[in-house]
Amino acid sequence: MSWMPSTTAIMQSLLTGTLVGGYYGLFALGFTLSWGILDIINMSYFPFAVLAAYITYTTITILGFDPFFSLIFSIPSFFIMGVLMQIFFNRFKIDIFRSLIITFALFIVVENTLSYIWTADVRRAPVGFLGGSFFIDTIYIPIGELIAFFVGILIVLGNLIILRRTKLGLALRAVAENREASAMWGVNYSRTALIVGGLSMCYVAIAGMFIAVFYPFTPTQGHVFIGRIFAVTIFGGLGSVTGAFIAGIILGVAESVAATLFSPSWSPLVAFLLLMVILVVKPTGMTQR
Amino acid sequence: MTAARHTLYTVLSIIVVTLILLILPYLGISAFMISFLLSVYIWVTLAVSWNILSGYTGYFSFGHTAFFGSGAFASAVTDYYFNVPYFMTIPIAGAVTAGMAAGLGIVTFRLRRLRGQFFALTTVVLTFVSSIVVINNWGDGIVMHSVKAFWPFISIPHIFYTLALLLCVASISISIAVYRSKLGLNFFAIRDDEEAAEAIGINSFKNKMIAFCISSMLVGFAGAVFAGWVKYVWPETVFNLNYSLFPILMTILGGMGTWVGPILGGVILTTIFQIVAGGEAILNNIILGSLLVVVMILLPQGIYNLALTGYRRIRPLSRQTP
Repeated sequence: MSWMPSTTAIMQSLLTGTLVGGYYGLFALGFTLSWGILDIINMSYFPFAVLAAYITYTTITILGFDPFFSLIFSIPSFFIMGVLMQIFFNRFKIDIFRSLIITFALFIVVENTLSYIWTADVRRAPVGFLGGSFFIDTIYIPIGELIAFFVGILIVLGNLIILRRTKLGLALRAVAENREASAMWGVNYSRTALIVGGLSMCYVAIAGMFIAVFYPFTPTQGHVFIGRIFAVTIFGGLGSVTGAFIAGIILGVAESVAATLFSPSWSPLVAFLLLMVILVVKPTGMTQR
Repeated sequence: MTAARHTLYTVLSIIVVTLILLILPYLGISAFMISFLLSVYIWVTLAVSWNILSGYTGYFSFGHTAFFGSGAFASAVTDYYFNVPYFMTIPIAGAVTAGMAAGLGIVTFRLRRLRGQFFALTTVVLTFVSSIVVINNWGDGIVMHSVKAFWPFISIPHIFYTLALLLCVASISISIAVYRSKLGLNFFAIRDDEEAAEAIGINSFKNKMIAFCISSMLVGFAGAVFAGWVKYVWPETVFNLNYSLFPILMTILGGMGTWVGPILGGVILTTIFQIVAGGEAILNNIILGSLLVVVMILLPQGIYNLALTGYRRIRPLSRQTP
């Protein structure tokens, strides 16, 4: 049966899928926090991630530093931008539908600003050892994806510790559960929201850095992630950090297997199908927060 | 004014305005003016159709790009590969997009929780997925067969001017008819409180499906008319996100949920684009995105409702009771 992929090919696609899926999970973290806790569906995270990619690109090409070094610039600036955005949302009491429209407008603004500054040319950052790979037996392991995967795990663990062990985490869980009731127990919603908004943007900055590491990119690079990140967020359960990460891995594996069996160019359809199946079978996602 | 006379006046005024606009190209207006009016008609069609779903039932759709692009490509593919006469491809395009809407609606409209948000998101995802499918198959674009001018149309722009005008008038008429009918009442009930609407016996699933299918069918028609007009259909032009964004901006600016709003917003904004557009599409988009944010914050009720409130305030009290 020549059409059957070999065991190595299947093992390979499972592994690549897991690593790429971990990256999807990492990307979805900011999204799921903002949606689940703040009731803000922030479309503008996608072009902001690409902005982080451009910051990384500029750091590498002009300053000649390591990609990770760019986080020194992007994380603080993104945190401030997230806080400012959240101040704006709080000030005008943006509900979930208006947040969709306003962030969609921001999406257009940021994306076109990127095209204006960096033009629509395809950029490829020289990423050094991050672009490398090694082999275990016959299985190919890309280093960049492996690091993204472990960064994702670290962030998920960090979030879990914050959510379960600290007072801030308690406040966050209370806000996510019921905003009014938590206010009665003395949780300052606007301050909590600012922290979550800033934190989500930090995760976007980290995810954006890996865009520059993984792909040749253009200002519209964020588009390829939209379907995937929505699917992962809804599948994982809104506001669930662990859920998003696991859902990301499932999506990554499904895509990778589909790419091995059919053709890589059709893999975005997998996310859409997954999203449709989830919405039919279990729209609440697989985990509660 | 009784309801019957109101309807009569509306129908008469639509017919008169349509006739005037129909003979306008034969009065020697410039080719630029014809193409400008054509783009006004297409944008107004898009805004009106967005309003039929999102303004009337309250379900936000970001899927106009998907339907516009799919309509254009349905028309181009049937025209180029199957040699279907161009005028036959327009209903095919409408059927394709209405089918897509029905498929998406069957899945998302059945949800009980968070339905509005999931619907909005699935329309966003549909946009990117449909463009990927089209790019995978016809990424280099399709050049359609030429349409021949025939009596009474003097040239090809006249044909497309007439098509776009008729489409625009048809969608406005549908929009008004729905607004005035029991169907419209059902839509408004769903928008205001879906649980309550279901409690008084409105089948919300059926009504939402009707609204979504009408809306996306009109967008499919518009896509097909646009495809025939530009002749060269390329994924990057017809799957432009602006086809989702601008109808939203137009409708919200004009007044969401009223039938006048999208027409007003569409005409105003298309005129502004024409004046501002100059050349730099990127700067234009930046300005428009910012404009949408400002409108959402400062003028969420729209020009028409603002004018209506103002009018009610200055009108003498004695004439206020009907």
